[in-house]
Order: sequence, then C-alpha cells, then structure tokens
Amino acid sequence: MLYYFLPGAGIFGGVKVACQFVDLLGSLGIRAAVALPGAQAPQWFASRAAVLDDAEVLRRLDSSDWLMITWPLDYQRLRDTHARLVCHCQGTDDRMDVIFADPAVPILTCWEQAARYARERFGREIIHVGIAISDCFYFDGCRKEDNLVAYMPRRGFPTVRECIRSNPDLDFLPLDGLAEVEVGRRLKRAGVFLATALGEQFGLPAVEAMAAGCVVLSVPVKGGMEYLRDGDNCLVVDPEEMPTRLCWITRSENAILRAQLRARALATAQQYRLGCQRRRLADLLRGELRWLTS
Amino acid sequence: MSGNGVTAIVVSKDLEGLLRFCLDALQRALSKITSTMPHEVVLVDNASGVPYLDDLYVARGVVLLRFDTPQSFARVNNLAAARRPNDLYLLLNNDVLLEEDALVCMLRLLNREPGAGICGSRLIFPDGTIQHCGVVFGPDKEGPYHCWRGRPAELVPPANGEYQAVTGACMLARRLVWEELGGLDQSYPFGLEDIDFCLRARQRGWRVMCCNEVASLHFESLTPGRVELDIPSRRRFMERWGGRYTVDG
Repeated sequence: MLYYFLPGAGIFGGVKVACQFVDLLGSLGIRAAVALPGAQAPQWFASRAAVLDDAEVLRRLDSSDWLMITWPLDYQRLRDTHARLVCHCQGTDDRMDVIFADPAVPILTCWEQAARYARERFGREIIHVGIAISDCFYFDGCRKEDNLVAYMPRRGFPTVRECIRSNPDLDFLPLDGLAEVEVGRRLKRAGVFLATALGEQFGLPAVEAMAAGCVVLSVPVKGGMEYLRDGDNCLVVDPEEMPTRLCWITRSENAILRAQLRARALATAQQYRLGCQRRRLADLLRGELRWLTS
Repeated sequence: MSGNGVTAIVVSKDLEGLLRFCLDALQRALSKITSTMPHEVVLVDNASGVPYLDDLYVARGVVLLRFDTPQSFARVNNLAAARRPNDLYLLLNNDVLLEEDALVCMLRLLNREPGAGICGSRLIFPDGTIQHCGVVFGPDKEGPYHCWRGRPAELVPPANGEYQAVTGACMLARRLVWEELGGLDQSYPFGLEDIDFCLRARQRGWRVMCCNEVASLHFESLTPGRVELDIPSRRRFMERWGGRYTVDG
C-alpha cells in the first residue's frame, strides 16, 4: 500500500496535486490513499482519493508499504519508520535538499526544472511523472468578458493593487477561498489572468487560467517556465511592468493578439490534461516505476 | 460450499410475490456465468410476518436462512457470508430485477480493472429514470448521494466508471475485501453500511467500480418500515465519516 502524507487539507496547490496523483495511481491499480491529520479530507476540489488518519497509518505500517512525501517536515518525521519513502517532488528549495541528498529516497518530479535541479545538484536519477490540472478548467465556449481580469490575492497582491490603480476601466475579479469548480467557472468567464506570485514553484493557477482561455500575464516563476512562453502563449512580465503591460494588452487594437495568445494557451494547456499524465504514468509503471507496484 | 464461485445473498422481508420475480431474474443472470463460475443463492428471511416456506425455495436450489426478529442489513449479510463463504459475494435487494447480462458484465469489469474489489451496477426505476449509476459525495452535510438519480437513463452515458461507493442493493464484492474489512459494519441500523463498506475498502486501496453497460430494475425501499431506519443510519454515517471523504459530486 502507498500512503501519500500531507500536513493539512487547506487550499494549497500541493494538496490538490497530491490527491490527483493518488487518484491516478489508484486508477492504474496501485493501492494508494492519502494520510492526513485526523483524516480531515480536502473538500475544495474534486477527488476520489481515500483519506486516512496519519497517526493510524503510522500504527499499521509495515515494511512493504510506501510512504510518499512532498513536504520536507514529513521526511524528518517519517524517515525512521519501517516503510520505504518516495518523494513526489513539488518544489525545489533549500529545505528539500536533505531529501534529494538521501539516495534511499527515490525522486519523482512533476516538472522539468525540479528534475534538472535534482540531477545537476545531487546527481540523482529521477523519474519525471508530470503534472495535470482538473478537467473543470478547460474552456467550454461560455461567454468571455474581455475586460474582466482575474487574480489570486494571496500572493503578490501589491502588484495586483498597482494594476487595479492603473487600469480603472477594467473589472477585477479576486479568486480566493473558493472551491476549485467555482474558480474554474470564474476563470472561464475572465478575459485575463494575472499570476503575480513571485517565487512560485510551478504556478498551477496560470496553467488553469490558460486552460480556461485567459490571456495570462505572469511574473517569472521557477518551474513554470516550461509552459510559459512570452509573446507566444502568455506575457511574462516583471511585477513592476505588469500594470502597463496589462493596460497595453487590453487595448482594443490588440484584440487579435489576445485571441492568438488565448488560442496558443489553450493548446499548451492540453498537454496538462489528466489523461496525458495518466498515459505517462501507465507507461512508467510498466517500466522505470515498476518497483512501485511491488 | 466454500469455493471459487459466487454466493448471492438476498435479504428479504415479506413481499414474497416480488421476491419470486427477483429470484427468477437472479437465476437467469446466474445461468449466464454457470460455465465459468459456480454459484449459490442464500435467501435471508428477515422476520417476515409469514415465514417463507422452505420447500418453495429449496426446490429452486436456494438456501434459506430465517430470522424471527428483524436484524440489520449488515448483520444478516455478514451471517450469510460466514455460513456460505465464497470468492465473491453478490448482495442483492429483493426489489431488484437483474438484467440477464448484468452479472456477466459486472464480473468482467471486476476482473478487468486492476485493483478492483467491489462492483456495483446501473439500476433504473420502472419509469426508466436512473436509480443508481454510482455514488458521489458532496461537501459538508450533503454527503453521499446517487449521481444522476431521477434523470432519464438514456441521457446518462452507459460508461463504466470508478466511484467512491456503490449501492449495496446490487453489489459484487471480493471475499478478500470482505474479510479484510470484517464484512459490513453492524452498527448501522439499516442503510449506508454499504457506503461505509466501500469507503473502508478504498482506504485499503481497493477500487470501487460501477458497471453501467446494462441496467437492472430497482423499485427501491418497498419493504415496510425500511425508510424510517435511514435517519439513524445517516446520523451514524456522518458521525464516522463527516469531513473524512473527498468530494467528487
């Protein structure tokens, strides 16, 4: 059995990615569940992942079990158990280095930058399992409001505030504390999405916005540069330039460019379909990742 | 009998006329798997006012168990499974008329999908609307519910799928799962022990499938006094599971 340990069920992309991964593994015949404090399940996105109390899991572990980790603190608390650890890497900061440095812990990466980081800095062989977004984000032809600008205020709000101040003719739509399906609905209505979180690992919301057919203006991020192509499927801008770039891209004479950016963004987001990741995982489980089935 | 076949368990109280149709349909469906899989039918008389007569059922090859006082759905199924252990258990309500190919399709799905431990089936009301094609979960107090219930069946694609739970009105479960979980939880008065069973199975990594290729008929909750027991069962379910399942509805 594989248990994916998480520290909580709050609204953090990593929780969603973890549950999605457990869903995918389960659909491919790997016996997997999520371990959370008090078995409190995340209910802000769609998933079928079974949830168990992490303390109960620790009581019933045996040496044939796999413990999947993604948070550095879980490595500290779980490394002395009898079970085998495997890291589902969703970030590369200094706190993760101790995991990369442990050769007994296989590393699965969600995006290319993390794979390069583990390979180049630690000489690790990694298995790239990819990442996906929920189907609820994909544009379904609903009416777009070209001047509606969506954003997530939790990170990078000063940049958003400047955008609001400098663009009084645009409507701004905060996305915060909402269930995933509602975020999807709002993104599909919005014309533009501002991704303002500096230091973002991958920037899942920007891919979700691309899938929803938004013109994405994003600050540079760590792992997300594999899908963000400035001028092709989005605009990559420094935070201080965002207000003027937003003003420029929303002008009426740039309607064709916006349409082009949206079309290419939609095409890019197709690569992050759950079905694509499932096929990749299925191939891996027949090959490099076969050990996970044992 | 303790073998590599199916034990079908039909729990019933009164409604003997309907029960005979149920058993006829069940035996037609079982006849389709006879060549590959031995089977037997256990009929549990759960304190019918007029006890079912042995002779009528033994002649059909049915094993009859009788309780003089009403028992919970979980208890009678657990007892029946313990008496007639087999590789697979089919739980079937007395108001479900199985479509002839239902078991063939359910078995095929169960055996084809890796890690599948439980398989439910599409059920329709007599008016052709969906009674069950998989159970999904809403947030907070919404809890588990039958997806697409009441929708015309022809509007719901007949695609097999994985769910967090399926109804015990027509459920095929592997003995491995049954034994790992100790059967159904007997603390439920009547109702939702099937959903509890599926969630516990999923916690152990088993997959729960629903076969939607064929649709059987389900009249639903015809047994007198059955519906009243839903409330304490739901309370019990939410005490145990509230906030502890993910949301897919």
